[in-house]
Amino acid sequence: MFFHHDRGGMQRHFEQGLESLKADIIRMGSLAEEGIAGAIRALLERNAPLAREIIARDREINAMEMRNDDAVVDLLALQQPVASDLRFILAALKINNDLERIGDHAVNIAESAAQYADREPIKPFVDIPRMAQITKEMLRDSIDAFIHGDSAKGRGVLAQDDVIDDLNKKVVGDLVELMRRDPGCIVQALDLIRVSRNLERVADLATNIAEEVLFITEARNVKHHLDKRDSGH
Amino acid sequence: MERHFEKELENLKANLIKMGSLVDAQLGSACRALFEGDVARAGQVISSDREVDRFDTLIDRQCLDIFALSQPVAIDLRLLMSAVKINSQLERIGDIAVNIAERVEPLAPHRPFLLETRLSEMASVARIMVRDSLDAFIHNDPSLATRVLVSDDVVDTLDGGIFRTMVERMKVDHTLIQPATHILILSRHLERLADHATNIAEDVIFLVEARLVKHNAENTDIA
Repeated sequence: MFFHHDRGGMQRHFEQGLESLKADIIRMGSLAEEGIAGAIRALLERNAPLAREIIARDREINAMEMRNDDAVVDLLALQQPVASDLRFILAALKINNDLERIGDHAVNIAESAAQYADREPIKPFVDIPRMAQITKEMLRDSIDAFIHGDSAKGRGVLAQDDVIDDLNKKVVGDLVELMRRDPGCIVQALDLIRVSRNLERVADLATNIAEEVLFITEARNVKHHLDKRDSGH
Repeated sequence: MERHFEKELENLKANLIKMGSLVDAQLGSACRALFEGDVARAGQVISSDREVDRFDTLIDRQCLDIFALSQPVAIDLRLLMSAVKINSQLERIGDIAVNIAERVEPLAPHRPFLLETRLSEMASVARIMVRDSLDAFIHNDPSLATRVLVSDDVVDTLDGGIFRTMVERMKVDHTLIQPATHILILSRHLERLADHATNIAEDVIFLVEARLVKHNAENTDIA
């Protein structure tokens, strides 16, 4: 009786831990998304103080990454998780790292935004805001897909990645053309190229998260998920 | 059970070493293709990335199985978590090799210009960092890992220098704008490569420290 009671307590403790890990990943996903959104807003509004604020806020996400890593250790030490929980926890470990990196990309964008704000603008913003919008949606969808084990949503993210890759190529190509025509634009154009490339990296990281989701869900549903995953690439 | 776990861990380490050599070979090949303007070799790098991905999946599964079967605790748990992370760093280093390979063709006509830059020096430093970080992991060598962290500053400085030089060259000679932009992006890729190596090295240091803490705790218990 006591033994059963004890095991039940452990089980509950474990489930609480899992829930709180989920909540932390969601929070961290929002932080990462806010970082990107803020950095892009700083760029569009030529707001250098906001850019600096975004750079300073990255600490929060870094601290969270370390806390989540510790939470994973505690969770795994607590009791032997069943296979599906284990997959989820290990995916959370990777996603935790991906989100921290997205925070770094927000810092890179914010740095470019701060520099750009001090110089003559070179062109109206068209593609970058669109890229930012799609990238933010990809990020949100990938986290949603992870939390709810939604593989259809995960596949949607993978499809969007091609859109971002094309947009990035277009933005870089346009800016190279602009530099050629007007070399006075070079420094500013390079800032915008950096922004575009960082958004593209964020989209890649969101894609990594979505791939983790497919890995989890397909492992649950399909026996030979290894082959399946390869053909999906 | 204990012996079985040790064996599994050795197995995992062997696979990580294999993954490391595979990724290192991809990088070496991509850099060689770049600096020699060898488009065919670049194509090989791009198609071989599937193999890296396959290894990534294999190692992930292996980690998962060890977790599930052995229920590791404390330091072994940390070690396994590091293995998962290092594996994912390696997979991304493989992606960078592909990114480098993809720029071989557009840069091939500008090889003399490319060779004037310090990009190949940067590539060498970054590649040594990747190799050292893996060696540090394999041999539990925190001093080697520390050296990797120091080299990261060298790469950052080179990246900054390349950036300034490219901007100057573009301003003077507008026909260089396109290749210079490619070189800037390559420089960023190499900088990220160094970051991945740094992440691996930090994991190694973290693991060694965790071991120290554990040993100290045990010693206190005995006393």
